[in-house]
Amino acid sequence: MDQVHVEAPALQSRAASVEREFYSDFPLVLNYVARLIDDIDGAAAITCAAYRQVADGLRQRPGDAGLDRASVFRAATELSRSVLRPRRWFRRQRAAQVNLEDFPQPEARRALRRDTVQRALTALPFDARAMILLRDFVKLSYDELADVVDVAPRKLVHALDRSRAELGEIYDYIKF
Amino acid sequence: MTTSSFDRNRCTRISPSAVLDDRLDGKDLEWARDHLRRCEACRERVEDFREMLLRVGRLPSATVGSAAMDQAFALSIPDRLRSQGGTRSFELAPALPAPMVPAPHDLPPAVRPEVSSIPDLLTELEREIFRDEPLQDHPMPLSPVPEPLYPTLTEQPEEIEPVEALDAAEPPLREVPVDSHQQVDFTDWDREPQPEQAPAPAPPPALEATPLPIPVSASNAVFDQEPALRIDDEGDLAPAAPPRKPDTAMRIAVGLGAAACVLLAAVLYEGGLLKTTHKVSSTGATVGQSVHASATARASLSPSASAAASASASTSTAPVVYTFPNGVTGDTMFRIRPGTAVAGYTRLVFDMHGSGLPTMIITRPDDLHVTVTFKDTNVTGAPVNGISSYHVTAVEPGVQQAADGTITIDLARPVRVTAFTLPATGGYAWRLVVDLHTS
Repeated sequence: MDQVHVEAPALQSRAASVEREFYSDFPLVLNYVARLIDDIDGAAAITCAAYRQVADGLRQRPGDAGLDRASVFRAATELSRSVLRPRRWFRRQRAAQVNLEDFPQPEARRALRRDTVQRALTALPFDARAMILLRDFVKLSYDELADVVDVAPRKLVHALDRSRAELGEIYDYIKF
Repeated sequence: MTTSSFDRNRCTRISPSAVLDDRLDGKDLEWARDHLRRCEACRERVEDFREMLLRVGRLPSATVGSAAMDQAFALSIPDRLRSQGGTRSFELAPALPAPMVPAPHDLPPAVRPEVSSIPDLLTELEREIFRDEPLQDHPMPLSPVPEPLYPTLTEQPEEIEPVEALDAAEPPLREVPVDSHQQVDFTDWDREPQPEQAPAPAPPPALEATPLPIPVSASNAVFDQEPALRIDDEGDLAPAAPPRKPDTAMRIAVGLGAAACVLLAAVLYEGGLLKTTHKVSSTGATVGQSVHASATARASLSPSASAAASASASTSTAPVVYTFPNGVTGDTMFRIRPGTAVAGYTRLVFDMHGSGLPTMIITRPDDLHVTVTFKDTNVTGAPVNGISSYHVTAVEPGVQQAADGTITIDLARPVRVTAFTLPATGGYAWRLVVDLHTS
């Protein structure tokens, strides 16, 4: 009886926390994935899968901890990487499609296609692209970024230097 | 947090990411400030990185509606983690501009405290650098540009038309701090022609009576070159706009310019050939002479007719640069060595067998040839392949005319010639040393 009284509020507070974090971060993660894989149609499925993966992992975590933001981004990054990885003689793995209501809008799809910065980002290697997007677009802190991309924070500066320099070169090359 | 390297003679001691992300402190920060104050290359790199950082930071975000969010929540979060009742415990704001990407100035300091101080460092640097010139603006100002609100990929359709109306009314609506490299203005995604949305039955007389200033995006230099036509006004303004004519003129001008370039290149190329043909023609004349003079001379021309001819021409008319009247009957000039590889001159060493140095005459038939004639010496056995340098294009094979042998050096550019001889010492044979200096 006592257990019920103790457990129920914790579960409810975790649910509230999960809900709040999901609704505040989901659009950002979705946009990040769309930029990362350069495909706004496939981004929803990957984002939902990442959230599901992190939510499933909450079972092992004690207390009322909610969705860890860095974990969500890490899962989304890894899922995006696996989607972009060639499989079976250059045939990409077909990701499951999730159709969300009114998403994406045609304007958003068109904007993604004709964005010069996006085209320069697409030309970058995956890790460099993820690093730049996480730092400059999502605006993660260095500690969060190190956690997501699994690079020591001290090495992040040089890695970001290289990635940004490469992005700048590509952008200068294609901007006209 | 700084690197210590040079990238193609460009200083890269400063890591721009360390500066922009405020990863420096203490002595590193002082050193970086001091270096940035003095090193223009590093300052430019930091500015380039900052521009790129801002471009990525300003990437528009697609709006996700509340229905889509609910759907995604139901798909992503297991039932046990949802609150009781199945509905969310709060309301979502319907059309926030970009709730997921806050503007850089509104960033909470707890999330990203290091970004907030970027402009301060750069502004301070700029202030210190231009402290003595208060009225002069830096061409690439380091101070943060006041940015508009974050644009979104999608806007509500009903808001689109008022935006265009605002565009016509207020031209400075499109404020783009970073200039024409911006590809498309994100604030109005519906700029593409959408005929079904814009029938625009506006009265044409009003347009003709008062030619409205067309709100072309002032930031785009490419659009600035053709400001007269707008896609949807094409029908109205068709008679007043003959835009193809300047284009055609420009194309013709460019074509003429290209043709002129090709012609110039051909003339230059021919000029180079002309020198060669001049030599050949002079040789032709000499060959003719030698044919008339004797049959033996013609027979001796076998190894290289042109070289022989040029040699004979040079000996007859070319100015003599050096003469070494040693007078010994030489034996064989058996080797030509490119000597010390110094940038200022090319040294050629002619090695000779024999009891002494023969009489040698160095002449210059023209600016691009030097001829060395060895009296009573056989020169045909000396290999000449592969001798080339900054001054020397090639050495022609030795030509034997009766007892005299001649070596012709083809020059790459006009040179000043100096020469001296060396006796046979140790393992070295008798030598003639010819130095070709840059004139």
